[in-house]
Amino acid sequence: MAYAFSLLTPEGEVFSGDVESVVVPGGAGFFGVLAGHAPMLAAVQHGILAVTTDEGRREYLIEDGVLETDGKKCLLLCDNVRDRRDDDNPVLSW
Amino acid sequence: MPSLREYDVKIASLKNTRKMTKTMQMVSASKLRRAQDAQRKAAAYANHLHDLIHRLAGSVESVAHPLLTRRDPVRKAHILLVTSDRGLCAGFNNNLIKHVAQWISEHNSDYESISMSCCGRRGNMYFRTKEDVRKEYLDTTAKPEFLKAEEIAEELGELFVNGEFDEVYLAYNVFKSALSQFPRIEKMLPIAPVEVKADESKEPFTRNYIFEPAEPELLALLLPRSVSYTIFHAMVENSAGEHGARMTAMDNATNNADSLIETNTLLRNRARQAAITTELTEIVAGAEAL
Repeated sequence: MAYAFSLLTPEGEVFSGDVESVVVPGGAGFFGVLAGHAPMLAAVQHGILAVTTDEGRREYLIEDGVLETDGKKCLLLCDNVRDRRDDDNPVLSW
Repeated sequence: MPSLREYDVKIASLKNTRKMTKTMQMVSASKLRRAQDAQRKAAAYANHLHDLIHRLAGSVESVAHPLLTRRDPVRKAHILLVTSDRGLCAGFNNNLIKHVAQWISEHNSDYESISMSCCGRRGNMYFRTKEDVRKEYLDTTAKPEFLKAEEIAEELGELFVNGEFDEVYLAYNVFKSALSQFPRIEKMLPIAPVEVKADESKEPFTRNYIFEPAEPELLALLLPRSVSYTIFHAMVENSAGEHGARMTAMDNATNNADSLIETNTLLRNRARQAAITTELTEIVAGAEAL
């Protein structure tokens, strides 16, 4: 089941649309958010964010932020985001 | 009276100047559009951030954070001045610099010391010899980036918490429109209590919310971000204002060049006519003498 997810930075909206799931690097380890997740407000650390839509999986390198979900939609506020596809050598640069 | 050739040289150089000012105006117009776009995007983020802070404040009993602590007495003030790196934008930077200089002379007696740090070369160039400028943040205002704003916020926040400053002010130009920008000085640290007051109109988090980590720690994570955002906001306003001011200034310069070209063309034609008349008179006089 898909739900609305948006990824915001002060420099603009990086992603907005329906997703199947997102996996976020939380303060105490990675966690996944699926549709119908319990309402939650969580701190997010820098790391790799994986977004799965019906078109496939995309990965972003994100800096610290905060995530809020109420089960129907999910919002991730982040200081900075880079699309991993834009990185020449994602492993080395992280 | 200058010769025909002198006029030609003058008109050619005026035309070159006009070409340059016109180009600068067009470049600024497109940069202004981009800056306004950045402004809009930043506002969307800020809305969400402040919404979260207000709602969180509603669900904790008391808000305590080093960045909120007021000092009494206030002895050391610090001003972060945001100007542009480049000139040629009419009074944009000068108005702000004058405003800040006046503010300092008015408030000098209230504090033991007032120090400064500058984003943007224009402000630093003016104040470095006159005031206690601690640091210049390079390459921050031409293209506002949140990470740079965050760096500055972290540095100033740390100095504030360590007691280096008791109050931190932020001075920047507010962008109202391409034609009008006005200087503003506002207190950045300690964070005003109204910023973190529970907002009645916004519903606080319900009981079934999971908080990771607990609410007070989350709030402590969000508050520094709100300071970073304040600085980023000033940078974005400054960049929109700079391009707006430059666009207007260059438009005026282009108009002035136009009217100078027109006047000089008229004078040149008059000089040419005078030269022709003189030549004719000379020829006629010469023919008569034969």
